[in-house]
Amino acid sequence: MISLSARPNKQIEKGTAMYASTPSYLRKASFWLAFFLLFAFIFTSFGASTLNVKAEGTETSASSEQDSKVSDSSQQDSEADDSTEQAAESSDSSQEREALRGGKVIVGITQEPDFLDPQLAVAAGTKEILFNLFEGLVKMNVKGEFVPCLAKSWTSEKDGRALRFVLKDQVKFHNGENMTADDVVWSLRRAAGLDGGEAKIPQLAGLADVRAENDGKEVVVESKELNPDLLGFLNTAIMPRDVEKQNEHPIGTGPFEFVSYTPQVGLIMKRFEDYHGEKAFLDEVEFRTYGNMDAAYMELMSGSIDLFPYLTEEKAGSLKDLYEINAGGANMVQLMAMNNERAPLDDRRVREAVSLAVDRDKIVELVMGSAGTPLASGMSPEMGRFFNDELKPVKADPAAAKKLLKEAGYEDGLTLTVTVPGNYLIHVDTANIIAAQLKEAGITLKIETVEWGTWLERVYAGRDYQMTIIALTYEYTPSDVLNRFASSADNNFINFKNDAYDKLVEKAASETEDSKRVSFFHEMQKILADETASVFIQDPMNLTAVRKGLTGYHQYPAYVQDLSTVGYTDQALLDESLLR
Amino acid sequence: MSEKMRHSRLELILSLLLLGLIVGLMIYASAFCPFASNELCSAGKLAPPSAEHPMGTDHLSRSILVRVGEGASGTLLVAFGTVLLGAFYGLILGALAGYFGGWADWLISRFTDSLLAFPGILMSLLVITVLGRGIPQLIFALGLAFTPSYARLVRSAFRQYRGRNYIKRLEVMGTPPLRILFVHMLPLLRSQSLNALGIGLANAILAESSMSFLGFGIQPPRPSWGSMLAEAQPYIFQAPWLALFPGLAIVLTVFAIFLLARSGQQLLEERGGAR
Amino acid sequence: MEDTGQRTKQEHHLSKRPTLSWNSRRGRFLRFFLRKFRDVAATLLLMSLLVFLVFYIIPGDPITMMLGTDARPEKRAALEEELQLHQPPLLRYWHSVEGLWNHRHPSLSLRFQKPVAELIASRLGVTMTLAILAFLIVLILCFPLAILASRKAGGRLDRILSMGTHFFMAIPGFFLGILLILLFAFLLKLVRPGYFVPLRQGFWPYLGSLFLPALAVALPKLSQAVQFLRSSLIESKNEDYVRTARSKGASEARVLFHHRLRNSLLPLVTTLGLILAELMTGSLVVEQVFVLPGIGRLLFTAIEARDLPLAQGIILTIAFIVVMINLLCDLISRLIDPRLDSAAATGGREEAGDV
Repeated sequence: MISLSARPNKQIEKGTAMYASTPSYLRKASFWLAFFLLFAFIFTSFGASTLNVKAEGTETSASSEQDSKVSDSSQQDSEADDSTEQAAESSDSSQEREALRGGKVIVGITQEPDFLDPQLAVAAGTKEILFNLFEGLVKMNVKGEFVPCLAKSWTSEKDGRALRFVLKDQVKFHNGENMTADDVVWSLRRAAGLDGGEAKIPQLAGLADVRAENDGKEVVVESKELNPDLLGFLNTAIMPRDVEKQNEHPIGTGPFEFVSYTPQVGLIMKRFEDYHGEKAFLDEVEFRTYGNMDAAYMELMSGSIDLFPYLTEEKAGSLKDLYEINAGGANMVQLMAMNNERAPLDDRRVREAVSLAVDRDKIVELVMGSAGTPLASGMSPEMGRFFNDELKPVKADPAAAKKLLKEAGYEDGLTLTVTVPGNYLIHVDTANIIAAQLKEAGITLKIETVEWGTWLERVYAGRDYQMTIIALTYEYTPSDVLNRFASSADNNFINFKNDAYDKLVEKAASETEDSKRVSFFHEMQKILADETASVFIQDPMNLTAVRKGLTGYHQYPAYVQDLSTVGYTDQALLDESLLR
Repeated sequence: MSEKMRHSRLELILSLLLLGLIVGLMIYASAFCPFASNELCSAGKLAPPSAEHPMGTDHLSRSILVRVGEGASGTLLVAFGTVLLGAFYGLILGALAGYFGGWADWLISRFTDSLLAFPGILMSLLVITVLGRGIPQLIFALGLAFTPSYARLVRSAFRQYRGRNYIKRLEVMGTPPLRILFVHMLPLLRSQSLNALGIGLANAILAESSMSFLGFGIQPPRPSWGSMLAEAQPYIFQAPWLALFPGLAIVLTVFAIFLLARSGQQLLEERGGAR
Repeated sequence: MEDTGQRTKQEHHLSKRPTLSWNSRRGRFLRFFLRKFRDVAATLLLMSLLVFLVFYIIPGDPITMMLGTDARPEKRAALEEELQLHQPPLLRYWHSVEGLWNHRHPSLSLRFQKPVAELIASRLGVTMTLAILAFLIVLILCFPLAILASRKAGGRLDRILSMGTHFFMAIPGFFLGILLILLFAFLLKLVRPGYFVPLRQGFWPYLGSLFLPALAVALPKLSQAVQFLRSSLIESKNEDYVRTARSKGASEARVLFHHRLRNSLLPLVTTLGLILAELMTGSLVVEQVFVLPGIGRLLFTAIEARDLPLAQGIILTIAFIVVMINLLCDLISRLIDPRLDSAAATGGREEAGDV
């Protein structure tokens, strides 16, 4: 551990007799050994300074190209979305036809899976893997819409309080058994807590009953209250009834079946040959765990990872020889949350002043390398029609901010504290930038970093803070995004209170007509922006490195890594991939 | 002998020069530099060293020179605090164990053994998780980790002193044990203490950097060498200067303190002419 | 102190019957072991209690950490049920310790839902290999360097070496790691950074991929060992027994290897033992820099996830290994120098030269 003395205390150096017998080659060898590393050190520092010039040149060109690349691919993305949507129905897109069957793909991940049981899984990083193993009655497509999967079709009953699903036949589980209505009912009852246990999927806790009807060909799902978002949550995994230990060896109906999982090493899955839909192209997929992105980056440079989501812009720039960089919104909301109940932030003018002092474009540029979308309100543009695109992000205006502060009585400046979870570098960096920006408006920002556990308990659950920076992630449902700002919501950690908003939440929950719901959600976003409920910063972009020669990868607006459409276009590359 | 003296003196001068460099940087950063440590400079992010920013800028376009300079103050504060606290606790525990022996010795030895069997850095990490992050907490956590080494040192020294004749004589004369401990035995430690404290200081700087590197040390916006290194890690290939300068600052400071302790002790021994 | 008195009496008593002298030595060994066993048990017990206490106090529980901002009361209840977290704390403590070797009801990691012992077993190899590799580097290099330095104390070579060793001791392991990666992987392109080959893909590639990390852990400790051995050798240079050997016409090499090194052996064993223990724990941080799948990364994950059973298991394992290394050193010291038999009773290693 810590040694106090580098050498023994008593040091007696008397004689200086020479030992001529030590062979000279030994002397030489040891000499060089000892100094090799010293030279190495000097060499490194020297090498670094010559490197500057090189790096400078590539840096500028890389970033300019990167910018155009990002906007480019997001356009391509929307086109690709259209084509795959067709593919989902007719399975006849030009892209998919090119892909060859076979090969192995290694996907780099940095988040360790938590539960392999899909109804227990919590982490986004787990859910996006399990998407390949499990399916529900409905399944999300690349556009974020729910399309038929294990159910062929469905009808609404009892004024929308119940849904009747017609099950697809000839669906096989990975263990070879046929899926029956029994399995569906058992899985859904388990998820909803109707089997005597706790509700595994909280959003399904409001189910009144799940039962099989019509000789096991149909399943009826009944809800206690009207829930327009119910369909989306019925993508919950259907599992075989009698199989225990899903956590150790998950068994579902997805296009891939589970092979093995080693903690902090990775998870391997292979193609499910009896899949009920369009079979996957790849033979095998390995999700390999890396401790952090830097480690994965090394592997990316050497080309031993085929697919890597959640890349940063700096890294993406230098990978373009081997990889296509695929960009898409993350459907996240990074915000500087303000505790609306704590002075002086209970004053709308102060909140607005802070918001006006923050330069969102600069944050996106410095923290994300421009790979992000500045936000005006609490919803990401990835939410499609629910997103209110009429609202425009606030432009930084320190002078206006100062004026507002003066009105609110903080002429002589103001000191605020932001509590940041120290484990998220992106939020710490953002806090540093905001501190510099607020200074121009006469606001002193103190940054307090806390451990993630402390943050969750004190800030998020305890609501004991003034401001904090965090990115909120959601299920792909508008109510999940916006209901948290209702005054009674248990996860309304910013203590936002607005009667008009609360009414809209209620109205949206009992409305079945889509266009009306959409307008309610737009209205809610407007209120959040007008009231400056918090400083909404950005929706960071997901950059994914996809090896050249792979096709069919699409970014979903939710946590999904769909590998069933991915395949090699080049036979040589495919053969090579199998050797690893 | 005189040649050795000359070398020692050379080492002393070298170490003082290095320390002077660091302290100079510290003063420059806090008083004279045109940039603040958290200012976003116009040079842009990851700018290589230039006349305006002799050490370049970091990933948020802050001047590294200023940050290295300001990082020194926090690091040195924590290091001094750690050594003082660790040495204080170590002295008390070690003196009790070494002088009284018996069950007190057994208990204290078990305690120090437990702490030693456990990586010091993890110990501090757990303490920080309990107490929260901040400089006082950090000093306490590291001080605790440094205690057992000092306790051991003091314990074995005091065991030795106890056997000396005049201490035995004092005991026979009925001098109270606390008086023997702190008036008669404590001054004997002097010859060892300079070395132990110096090397402790160097190790404390290393420990502080490790803690900050892991994110449990000095917290932003206050810069620290360790956390600068952690922030630099993603950019080592694109912008090695981000890691190099704070790293060099750690190495040179610690190196200088090692040299200072070593040459200082040698010069003192020579001057004393003893042994 | 009374202890020693008793022992001398006993020895005196036994010396009357010379035939039993071997037995008495064995008896003392037995007592030595019993005493050490008691100390080890006390250390480990204290440690496990400390870990439990810390986990009890620190904010955040495993479910909070897992759920993050998606926390909903229903999900929390479901996970609590699944992970059996409603057991009383003391029972959970007991199970986290006892479950380590209980095969029927193994202690399960909360984060990975696998038996803790199994997880540790799969990771310990890398950390141990790293530590042993680093130890070998220290062992192989410290002798020639120290002999070179001690040949002419205060000479140019000695001074350069002493500067060098001090310099390497001043580099924190993680920075040395970064430098080594920069040098070997980026500038010289000799190795692939962040590259780890599992053992099943061959022993030599596995060892090769661990070389750089081992170097990063070893260099500062090597410096420590060289400095120690050097001063010990210089000290012995003019001792009487060395002069005697020389006057008998023994060659310098013989004097060096037979007499002087041998005499330095005892304190060296202790030093090397301490270094080995420090290498074990030093590997934990370097594992982070090189992102190796060792026990250190598992421990950091366990602490982050508030996974008491896993953290308890890992910390006890590390502590056990360190304590065992210390014990081994004591044992070797006693074998080298039987005089320590009685000395060891009164004090631990520090008489042998605490570094």
